Order: sequence, then C-alpha cells, then structure tokens
Amino acid sequence: MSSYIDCDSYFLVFADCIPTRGAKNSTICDLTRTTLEVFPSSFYPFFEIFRKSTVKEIYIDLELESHIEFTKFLDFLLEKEYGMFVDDLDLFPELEKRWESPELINNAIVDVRLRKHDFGVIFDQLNSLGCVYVQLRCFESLYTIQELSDVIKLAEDKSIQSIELIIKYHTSFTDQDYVDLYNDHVLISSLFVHSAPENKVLIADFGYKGEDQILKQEIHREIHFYTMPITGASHCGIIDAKYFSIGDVQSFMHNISYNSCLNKKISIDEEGLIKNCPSMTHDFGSIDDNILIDVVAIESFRGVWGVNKDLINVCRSCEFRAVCTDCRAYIESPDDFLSKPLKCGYNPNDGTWTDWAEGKEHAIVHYGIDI
Amino acid sequence: MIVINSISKDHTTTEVIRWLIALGVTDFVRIDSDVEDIEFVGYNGIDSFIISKNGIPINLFESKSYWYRRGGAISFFKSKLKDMKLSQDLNLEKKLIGNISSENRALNDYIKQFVAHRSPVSLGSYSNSSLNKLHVLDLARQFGIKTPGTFVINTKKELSRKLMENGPLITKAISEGVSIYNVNHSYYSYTEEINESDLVNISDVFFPSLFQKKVDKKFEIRVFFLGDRFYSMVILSQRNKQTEVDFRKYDERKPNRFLPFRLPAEIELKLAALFKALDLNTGSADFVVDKNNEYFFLEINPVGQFSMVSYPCNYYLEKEVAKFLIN
Repeated sequence: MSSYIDCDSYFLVFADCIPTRGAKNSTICDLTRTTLEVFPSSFYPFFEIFRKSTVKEIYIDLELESHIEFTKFLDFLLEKEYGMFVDDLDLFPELEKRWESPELINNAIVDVRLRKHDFGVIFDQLNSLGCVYVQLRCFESLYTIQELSDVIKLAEDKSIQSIELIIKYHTSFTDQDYVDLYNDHVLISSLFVHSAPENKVLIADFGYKGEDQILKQEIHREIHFYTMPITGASHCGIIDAKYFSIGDVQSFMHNISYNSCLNKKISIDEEGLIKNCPSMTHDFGSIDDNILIDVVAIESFRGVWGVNKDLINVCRSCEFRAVCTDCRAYIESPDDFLSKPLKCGYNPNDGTWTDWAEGKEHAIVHYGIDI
Repeated sequence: MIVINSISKDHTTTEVIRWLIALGVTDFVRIDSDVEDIEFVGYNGIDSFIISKNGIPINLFESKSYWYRRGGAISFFKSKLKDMKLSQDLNLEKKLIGNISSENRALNDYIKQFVAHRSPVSLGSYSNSSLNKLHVLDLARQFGIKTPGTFVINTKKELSRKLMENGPLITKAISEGVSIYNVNHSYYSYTEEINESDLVNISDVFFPSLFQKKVDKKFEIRVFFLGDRFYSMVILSQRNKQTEVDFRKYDERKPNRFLPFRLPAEIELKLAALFKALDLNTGSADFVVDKNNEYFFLEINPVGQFSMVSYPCNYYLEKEVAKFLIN
C-alpha cells in the first residue's frame, strides 16, 4: 500500500464535504454530489488536525501502528474526491455555518377533508407573511377539478411561488382533466393523486411541441398516481435513511441551525385550526377567528423553530442529525418535548436500525396511530 | 426611494427586493425594461422628473438609492407608434422611426444617468454595462494583472503559426457569446479549445476572432465585487474533460465544486484598481489559476449572475446588495 508519509502539503477537505460526529459512527455529507458516507468516529478528529498540520506532520505525530489505518482513511477521502492536497489552506475557507431568509413564513400546509376553507383569506394572509411554498393535501375528494383550479387561481400574483398538490383520485375525472389542471397553472410544482386504481405517471408538457431536448426536459412534468391512500396527517414523521435531505448548501445550513421541518412553517389543519404542523395536537385557534400574522407573533409558536437536533436527546449524538428532518409531532415520550422522534428506529450508540414501533406502545396509544 | 433597473425574469433582482422588504424598505420601484408598464410623464429641469409605473407617478428627484442591475431602453412610444402613419413614403417612414428610436434611446440614457447622479447611493452602471473585452485586458495588464496571451486572427495560416508557438489556444466571442433559441433547438457558444487537429475544419480566411493561449488550469476563480469587498469562489473542474475549457458545460454525474475562496490580497488590490479605472463599483471577474499558482485574469462582467457565487458559497450576496442600497 502506498503511503502519503512524505507529503509536505495539507489535506484540504472541500468546504462542501461536511463531517458530522456521531456516538459510534460519523458521516461526511457531500453537498455537491449529494451523497452521504459513514465512517468510524475514531477518524473524526483528523478533520480538525487537517486544518493545522501537513500530512507529513500528522504521520510523525501518529503511533506507528496507526499509520496503515490513517493511510486507508486518506485513500477513502481521495477515492470519494472529498478533498485534495494543497500548499496553502488559507485560500480555501470553510462555508459559514449560517442560514437566513427574508420571508417571515416560508411554507404552509393546508389540509382538506370535509371542510371548505376560505382560500381567498388564507392566501391573502400567507402573502402578507411572504409565504413562498404551499402544500395542499386533500384526504377526500371534496373539490372538483374545476373547484381546485379556482382555488389555485386565488394564489396567483402573491408571494406564493409554487403549490404542491396532493389530491384523492375520483372516477369522474379523466386523465386529461388532471393534465389540464397541471398545464393551466404554472403555480403547481407537483401533483400527486392518491387512492388511485393503479400506480401510473402522466406527462404534462404545457403544450410544447418542439424538438429541443433541453427545453423538453425542463418543461416535462410528471403527475404521479398512487394506489396507496393518504387518509390523514398521522402518516407523517417517519425517520428513515430514504428521507434524509442531502440537498444544497442552504438546506444543509438550515437543517443544522433550525428545526428544518417546522422553521418558518405554518399549517391549517382539516378543521381550520392553526398549528405549527397539522400532525401536532396543540393549536393556536381557528383561522375563522385569528389572523395568521398574529399567530406567528406568538413566541411559543416560533419557539419550536429553533429546536435543532443538538437540543434533542439521542439525536444530538447521531451522525445523521445534519441531514435528518426530525419530527416534533410524534415523539418517544409525549411528555418530554426534547425526546427523540417516535418513528425513528435508529440507535446512534450501536449504529443499528430496528423497527421503531417496538416497545413504544405507550406513545402509539397516546397519539392514536394505526400501524 | 430606491430605483432598480432590471428585466422581468431576473431572479436575483426579485431576491434582493425580498431582502429590501425584510429590512423594512417599502419605498422602492422596479423598472423592468422588457415590461410595458412604464410611461414618460415629464421633466421640468428643476425638481420634477416624472415617469409612471402602472399609472402611478414616480418623481425621480426623490431617488436616494439607485441600482442598475441590467436591462436596456424602455420604449416610451411603442404602443402609440403602431397606430401612426408618419409618411406615405415607406423609406422616409423607416428613417423617421429610426430617428424616434434614437431619441428614445437618448432619453432613456439620460434617465439612467440622471438617477445615478441624483442618488446618494448608486450601484452598477448602465453606461459601462457592456465592456470591451480586449480593452479590459489591456487595462488589466497596465495594473500588473497577468492575462493569457491574446490574439485576434482571421487566417488559418496565422492561426496555425500561433498554435505552433503557443500550443493549444482557446477561442471565445469578442463581445457576447451566441445564445439563440428557436422552437426546436437552443444554440449556445462556449469557450472552446482549438488544437492543430481543428485546422482541417477551419477555412483559410474567417471573421477576425479572439484567441488566447490556453492556461494549464489548476482551477477557475469567479469574483463578485461589491462596493469595496470581494466575494470569491473557486471552481474545481479540472478532473473532468467536459468542463476543462468551460465550466458552464455541466457534467451531472461529476458536478464541479463551487467553493468559497480567499483571493490573495495582492490580486484584490490590483483588481480593485481595475474596477475603479472602469468606473464600476460592482461586477464579476473571472480568473484561471495555473499549476504554478499564477493568476490569469480573463474578463469582467458588469451584470454577471452573482447568485451563482452567492448560493454555493453561502455568502447571502442578495442581502449584501440590499444592505448596500439602504446605506
């Protein structure tokens, strides 16, 4: 095996490859290639040493029997292209650990079951908060396609830049109706149809008939039909590696600085109750009697925004905390707001995943969750 | 009042305005040169210079802060001109319309000059929004900034000689690159490498074209300049053939890394002098760094997309621009 023992350079870990120390294992998240790798936490201290010592100096300071392991670790970092050898580390500052956004509210969830909300009022109020994204979840087919179209229109010419639409399948609408709904509204960023007779995908092209492949790709939108029903808000909150959010620099910084799921979020549940998230039991009154901007001004409403994983038991020693969304609606000990998410089966102390529901009967009954 | 010149699709302008609002600014006007919602109302030379947006009058004398982000002239008379018959003589009519449009341009130039001079804070410059690359390279050298050997060539013979003397060259537009769309295709021109093997495809005589000696690139630097500060980014693309000459050719499997960078103080000083000589207080500059750690200046884009520096480097430049306009 080759060694880097004579290397007088520093090893630069690229600023977009960020390590997170966990109890047993640690991770390195590559924000450009959106990948995450796990390595034993015993190697984590090298990330600090890399900023101070040349590679040669590191070898000299190491016990001889650790040389092979360290060489292997460098091989791993080089093979994954997480870094390179440089002469001048000062040229390559780290990313500032900082997240800000100009809007008071970034996103809103509005749930619909049997009650028709006054969407004109809701969108006006979201606009005054600068809300950028809206998710509209319909558990039942309360609205026709035409009515949905009218609802979306009410969000036009406001701060809202896109709407994610989740609706229930209904036999009276044709494929073309769904495609038309999508094509008629640039505001709709994605459209999911649940409780469908089959899993399928429809294509919306906004009427583009040209041959330009790049443009085609940009315009191309998919409407996803799922047979699985979405019956309510209690489906949410599952912590699993497949939901880890490894995106751009801003979403990473957001996730380590705030509770990325709840920060700058406001929700209106199926009853019209204003909440941090529709799955939460605590509400801040009905949209019929309260103005959203007044609710956002309440300190306890904003308090949960700052609950990042460093404050949560167990999560604070988890190597996935920088990319995990967390969930404050369903927690392991309903009486302890800083307990770990109920639907997380990961144990950072031994690095194993198990079925989250095991031994959690108390909390499951508390929340009335069907498994 | 803050006055902003832009175009309707410029996302950066929208982001800066979002920050202005967050920082408590309510009195601003965005003028998009591609939207026909601006009318000329009147200028009395003393205290009233009125244009209107969607019918609402704006007195440009009240401008405290001006940002020329991008965009050209507003057509003040376009809609009315459509229904007018200026002459039966088509040739004469064409010339008259040409006259009106040059009057329109001069009036537009003056509006931008007026607001820029009138406003205590002024960022960006319309009159310097389109620089001549060759001239800027000359100036850069005068300030002691290295540039790659630069030639303008129009014959295969001369090109062949330069290739022999210098090794591989690159070529790019003297002005702006091609960016043309039709319904079926999009056409772009990038910076392209030229080798001996390309000579067979090149005619004996061609339009005078810009060539530069290809720098043996270690990495590329993009610098955003704002007021008196530099925000630099390094682009690591050398592992990748596709992006070796022009990082804009993305490779989705191995995307380039865009990382924060600290430009050496000596380069910053020289670059600041260059910006000053060009009478620009903002803009984006490009460099390549070779294997011997030499910095070669390529060009300055006064209206460059600084969001492509801001996001990957987490610099919040949109907020910095908003703060600059408020001060």
